[in-house]
Amino acid sequence: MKASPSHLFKWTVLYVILTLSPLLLVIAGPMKSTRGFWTEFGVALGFVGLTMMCLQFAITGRWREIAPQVGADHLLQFHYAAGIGAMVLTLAHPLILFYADSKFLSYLDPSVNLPRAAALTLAVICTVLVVVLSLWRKRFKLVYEWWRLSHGVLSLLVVLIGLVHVLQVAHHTYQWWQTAYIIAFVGITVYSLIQVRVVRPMQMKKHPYEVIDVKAHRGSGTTIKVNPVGHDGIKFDAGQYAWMTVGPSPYSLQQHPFSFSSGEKCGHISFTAKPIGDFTSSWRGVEKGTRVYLEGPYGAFKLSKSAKTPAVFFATGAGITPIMSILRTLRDRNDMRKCVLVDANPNQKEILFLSELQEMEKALNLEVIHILSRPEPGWEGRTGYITEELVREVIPADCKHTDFFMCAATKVMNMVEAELLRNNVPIHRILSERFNIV
Amino acid sequence: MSPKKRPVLLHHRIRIFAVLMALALLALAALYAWKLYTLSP
Repeated sequence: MKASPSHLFKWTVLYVILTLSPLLLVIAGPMKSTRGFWTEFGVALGFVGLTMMCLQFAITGRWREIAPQVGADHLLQFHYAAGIGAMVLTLAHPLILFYADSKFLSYLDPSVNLPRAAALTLAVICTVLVVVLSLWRKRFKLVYEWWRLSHGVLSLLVVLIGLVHVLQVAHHTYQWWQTAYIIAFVGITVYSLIQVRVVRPMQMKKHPYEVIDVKAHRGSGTTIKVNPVGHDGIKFDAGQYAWMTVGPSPYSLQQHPFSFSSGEKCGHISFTAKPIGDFTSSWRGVEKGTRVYLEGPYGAFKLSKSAKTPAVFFATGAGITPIMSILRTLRDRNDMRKCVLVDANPNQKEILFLSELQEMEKALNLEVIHILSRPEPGWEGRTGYITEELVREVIPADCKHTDFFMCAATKVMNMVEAELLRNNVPIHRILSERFNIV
Repeated sequence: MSPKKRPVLLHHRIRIFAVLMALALLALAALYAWKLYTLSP
């Protein structure tokens, strides 16, 4: 996704200032007697760990003020690494304090204060669990919806216990304004979670959609077509995605991000998926008239506005969907920019939108390269997988002024991106969607 | 033939950036503790 360096710099500086803000307030306040370097260092790490954890809520709060400037994909990758960093700093907090002075061990001693010891032990367990379950969700066979619920609940517990701990210890928050700041900091950032899980579903309830068609493709793909009920519907740019909930309630745990497969001005909205989980496996059973709720649009997987900028697309399987939205939009606009699509699938049946792509090759300045790994007899096209040689073959001479889009299996995207970079494609010209970080 | 140089992918760059930021915060926390330790009455 494209993000300007000035926006990245601005948000980075703000992040550092906000993370350190409780420490800056301590320095600004009246000085207390010394407790030794290691004690103050341990306490500082506790504050930094807490503020980093709080900011994790804001980072994933789908705020329109942040996500479009930095890129939702960038934010998720940052959230992933910052979460591990926050865990390390939070766990270092008690360890350094125990090293500085063994009297701090009493905080975990149930015979001294049972509720405090229980709460702090719980916070440590939850901190580790949040990260471990995110890193190895699939290994633990944890269903996405339950992981999502546990991620929110465990993180909330850690932050709330952390806040109570700061207020109870009160060594550095004994001035009313310092206390008020910490409470406001936690409150505002936690509101991001409430916004995503409560406020937005409430707004979505007033703007429902209805399934008007469910189309089973030749292979395993399914397209769900929806229309807004009683409102104008989402306005999106081709290549973007929305969070979708299927069913009577927008508060359902089953909320997943899906790229639009319809063009910007088709008159309806459609999503296409292949069965890769419980949710997408149930799509063929969805009946006409079923309520659907959409939150969005999000994402910067979008074409350059200039019709002179060529584009090269790499897709595997259902990764074709945002690209299809882009191609349909180009067709509707009669935009004749040079486009190349490399579309990899196991066999002919699994190629989504095959006949429409063939028509588009005639209507647009588009070359489609299909590549099949297990073709049925009679296939005369390319066989195998997307390889480095194929990537080099489709890189145009003017690669510095070409947009490259990837929506494919993780291994393929890693390989394609590496090959593009090796061939001097500027990194800001490579656009990708990596939804599956957990 | 020399092995091909593996470029650092964008999502790895972002993760490295986040780790460097966490280290910077760690260093600033140490600086803060040192300042408090040396300035406090």
